[in-house]
Amino acid sequence: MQDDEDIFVIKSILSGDVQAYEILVRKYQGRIRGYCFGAVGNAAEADDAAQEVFIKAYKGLGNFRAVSSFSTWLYRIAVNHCRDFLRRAMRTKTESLEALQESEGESFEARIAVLPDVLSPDEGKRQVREALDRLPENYQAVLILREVQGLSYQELAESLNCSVDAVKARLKRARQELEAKFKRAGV
Amino acid sequence: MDHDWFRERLLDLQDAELPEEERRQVLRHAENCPACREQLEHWKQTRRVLSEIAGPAPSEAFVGRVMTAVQGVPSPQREEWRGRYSVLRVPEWFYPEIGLAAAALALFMLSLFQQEAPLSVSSEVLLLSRMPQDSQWVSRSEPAGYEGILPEEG
Repeated sequence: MQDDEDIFVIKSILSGDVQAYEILVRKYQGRIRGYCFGAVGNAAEADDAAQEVFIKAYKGLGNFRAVSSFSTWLYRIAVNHCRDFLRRAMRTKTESLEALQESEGESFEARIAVLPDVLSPDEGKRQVREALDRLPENYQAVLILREVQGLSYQELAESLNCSVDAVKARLKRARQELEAKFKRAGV
Repeated sequence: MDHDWFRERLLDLQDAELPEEERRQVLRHAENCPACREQLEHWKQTRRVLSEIAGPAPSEAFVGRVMTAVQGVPSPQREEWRGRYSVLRVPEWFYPEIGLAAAALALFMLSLFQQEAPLSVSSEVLLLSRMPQDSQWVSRSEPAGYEGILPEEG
């Protein structure tokens, strides 16, 4: 659904009132930071990611066609940004692990075997987080947007750039996979 | 309406995406169907567990940081040309077809320029080919017969 107030603010920004963007940032920061936190899993990195999302949205505001709502457009940017972020992070992690393994050889294996598990105060949340992290990116995104952010099927379809039927199918598979991971982890 | 019909709608029920009448029917079915009830219960648990991942609280510091960063970015401009020439915009799904067409056109153009090279035939060969077989003339390139030139042995 289109928010007339958002359209009015966007028109103001495009007319040169840069400061009006503050209204949109304040209005949507909770949702975007929430999504980024769900996807990235670390508060500081999530805030950096959310900041990047808002900057990207600002730069691309001229391309916003108002076909979908501003919030779903913003979610689409966030989904793409977090996906890229996670891929980069995964690559760096793999490379640094390989480099460490190469330089330390067998002693590295022995050391990670006795590393203490870093436990958050809430063990349940940590397990949920871990299960979510192990899901494929597209399942992770659809689950966070639906279960944490509460988007409707239509909003999900617009945010993820696919059909409502595809959203339903993906959501179903994502839930089944998450449940399976919960069962294995004993959550 | 059989069991499968209801089962397919459980997800919609869970997500509050069913029309009121269907919602009531599915709920009535779930009351009497242990398998559907169990499935619904599973999904409810998943949702409860996921909802524990709460996002950070709103922060004015965050808004300030974004606005500071935005000040250094050029002001966004509406891309008028897109609206004006939106008819000319090509949908993304059409890109592979455009690529194939371009490749086919390139091959066609290449075949036009790639004509057979002319055979290198000297005028001498050409003249000889038109000469009668019993002619007294012989080609310089062909070795002359030795008969009658060398002295007979013995």
